[in-house]
Amino acid sequence: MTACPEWIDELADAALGRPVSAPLAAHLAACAACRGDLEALRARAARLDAGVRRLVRSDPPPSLVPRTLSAIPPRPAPRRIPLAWAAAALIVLGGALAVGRHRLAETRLADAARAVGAWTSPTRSLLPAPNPSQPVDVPRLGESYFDVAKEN
Amino acid sequence: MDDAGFEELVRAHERLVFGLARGVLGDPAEAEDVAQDVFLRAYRKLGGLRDRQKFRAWVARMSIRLALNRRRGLRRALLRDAEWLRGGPPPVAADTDIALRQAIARLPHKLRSVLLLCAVEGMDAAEAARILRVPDGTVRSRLHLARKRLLLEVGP
Repeated sequence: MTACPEWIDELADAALGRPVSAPLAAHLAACAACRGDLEALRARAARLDAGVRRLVRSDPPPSLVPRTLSAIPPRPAPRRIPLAWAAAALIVLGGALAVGRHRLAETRLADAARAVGAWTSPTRSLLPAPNPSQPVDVPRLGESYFDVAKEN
Repeated sequence: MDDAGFEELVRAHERLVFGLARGVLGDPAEAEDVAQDVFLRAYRKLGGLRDRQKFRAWVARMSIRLALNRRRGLRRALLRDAEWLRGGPPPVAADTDIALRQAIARLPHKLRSVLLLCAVEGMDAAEAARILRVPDGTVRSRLHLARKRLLLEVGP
């Protein structure tokens, strides 16, 4: 390339499709070497894009898909529980349930017995006299609660 | 999804995945290894990738990432080999394709990812932006920078 070094950067931009600035246009009008290099860079840019596409758009090898699929780890098979184990588990579970229900009934019975033992009649709280200063003895015949004669 | 459905997904995306890996790595055998790794990872994550667009974006991102990781490993191995061999400087590529491939390999990975996405399946800036999770304008600007570097580095 024989272009003026200070214009190389802008020449490359222009070759890649950026708009040509006014100062560059003025320079190009006066510099044949830069005009030539701009044309060369434009042609190179077109080849460059094709070259990049050619390099990276290569077909994947036919072995890629089968190789990938064969490397997939097999899914774990669903675990089967032998019938005998399942039956044993059911028996154990049933036994546990029966024991649990029996214990629950016993607990309820004991609770009921405790409740009966602790029961008191509601009238018992009414038995104490509301006013202890009041005479509680029953007067005999001829007597009175209020000894009027004594008071007089 | 059953295995037949997954096979259909692999066939629909093998060109994209392999092309991106090959673009980063250059070597087709290495790219095939990476492509297989990408699909196996996708298989394990299928539950979260039911949307086809999401799947495409995910495998594209994963292809670039895994290929870059492998390339870093390969480069380290190559440096060890070169030191062991005490060889001279790498030979200058005479062929334009080789020169172009080397120039692509020298691009910073942000520029190279955009270039590959747009070149492999002719993605537009919007789709590449969605895959790389950057604004459209960033994709356009990176693509321009990538092409400009190649233009100035690779001979006529």
